[in-house]
Amino acid sequence: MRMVEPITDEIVFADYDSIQRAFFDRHLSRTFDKRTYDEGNIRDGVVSIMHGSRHRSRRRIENTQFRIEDLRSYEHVLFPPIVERFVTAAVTDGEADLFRLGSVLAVALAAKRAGFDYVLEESRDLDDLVSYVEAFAQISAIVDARDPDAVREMAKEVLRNFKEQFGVPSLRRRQRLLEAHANGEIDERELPRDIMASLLRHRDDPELGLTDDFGVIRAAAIYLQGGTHTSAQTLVNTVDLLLDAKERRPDYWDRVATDATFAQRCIHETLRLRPTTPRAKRRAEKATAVGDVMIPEGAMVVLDFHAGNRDVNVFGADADIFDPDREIPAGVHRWGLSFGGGSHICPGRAVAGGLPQPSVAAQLGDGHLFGLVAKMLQAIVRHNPERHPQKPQARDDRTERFTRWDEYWVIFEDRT
Amino acid sequence: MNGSSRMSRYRAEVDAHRCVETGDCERIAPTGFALDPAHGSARVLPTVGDTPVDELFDAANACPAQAIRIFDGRGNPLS
Repeated sequence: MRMVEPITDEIVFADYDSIQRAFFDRHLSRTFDKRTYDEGNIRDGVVSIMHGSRHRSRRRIENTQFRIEDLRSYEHVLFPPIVERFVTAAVTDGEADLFRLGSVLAVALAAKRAGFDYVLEESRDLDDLVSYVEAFAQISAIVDARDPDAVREMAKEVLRNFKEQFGVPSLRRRQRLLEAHANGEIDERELPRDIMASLLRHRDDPELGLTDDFGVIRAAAIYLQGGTHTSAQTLVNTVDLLLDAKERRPDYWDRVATDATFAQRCIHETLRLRPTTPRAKRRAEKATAVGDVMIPEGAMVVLDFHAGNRDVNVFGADADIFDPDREIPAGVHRWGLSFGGGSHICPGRAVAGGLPQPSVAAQLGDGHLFGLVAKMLQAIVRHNPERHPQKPQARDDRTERFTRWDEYWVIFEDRT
Repeated sequence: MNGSSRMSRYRAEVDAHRCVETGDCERIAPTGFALDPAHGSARVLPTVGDTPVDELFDAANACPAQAIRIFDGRGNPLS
């Protein structure tokens, strides 16, 4: 075994196999910087940076909102009219900021799943939710922020406003309904099925660590952000890669429009090439080893997803190329490492990316889920978007997460 | 490990049609699940009763294909 002394307290893994091993190491924790994620940060006390028994207890509750039956309802029943409504409006306008459009589409479902009430017909509600999500994304990425103090200041105000506008009203409504249910006044089926309601039902369990109302709101809000921001970023990145490939592979465009299986593969290939979190961090709670690398207690471990997803030993010599048809070794995901793995795997992976496709596409059953982003992509590609010649396609450079967009304007050649 | 956290109160299922054979479940709960190349999916092992229930939940939560379900003694889904 070789000892690696951490240089500037970081050990970096950049190959696929090592990162996979790190996912399953119980001593590598995401609870790595309490101060950064303390009061005033949306991630204070949320499941994604917990470790050990509390993390497990919270996921047991929160994961119940990601059961296949619910996801099927999202994809087949709730989502199609939302897509129809907002994509049609954008096409009628002839132009759209694709990042904003993707955010509106995603937030409509993410808010429902997280447990924040809004009125679909009230476009200001969705616009406000999207603005909060954009702020939350900056707050969550504070560890990679170029100006963390500015983010910290912004966080306090944004969280206070969100709490007043959506948090407390949604929480109080659920508390009233749960009380009515406990008194036998309403049936179980009349209770909301969402993260916030689930947490409220179990908040007396001390293991969950939900000591105050704001903690419940923050715990649910992280799903609002997680269910919106990554989906919208992935939608934009996919369109961007398809536009780049248009000359090389003109057939991709029609295939996306007509074949949901191929559209889903485009999403997975995009997630592989452009993970919205290109590098993740872990802290060694105890000395451990990943492969033949010894990791001292307290060391910071960086998992370089962007590099691992381009590992030529796994994805082939052309790993840098956008090729949704690529052959993938058994046991490897088309999205690479981008949803994480092990106990911290992204709980919303099947909402956004659908279920993994079997190695033989013909084995896809009726119960297969293609994921909401593939559905968004198909709806948009059918109207032939092109990069807007006068309005920007601009990266978000506020963090070191270089795969993210701030705005991405397109025109629709087909307005019908 | 205490008796109350054992599998005897729970039941595990693997949906073979959904499983994509990553082996994550086997890695997390080696006495509960194993890949079975002959069937092209993971399967529940006879030793599942000896598996700490925390490991079973971790395996279900970590399954990328959401192919593992854990049920309580009354058949209610817990994962």
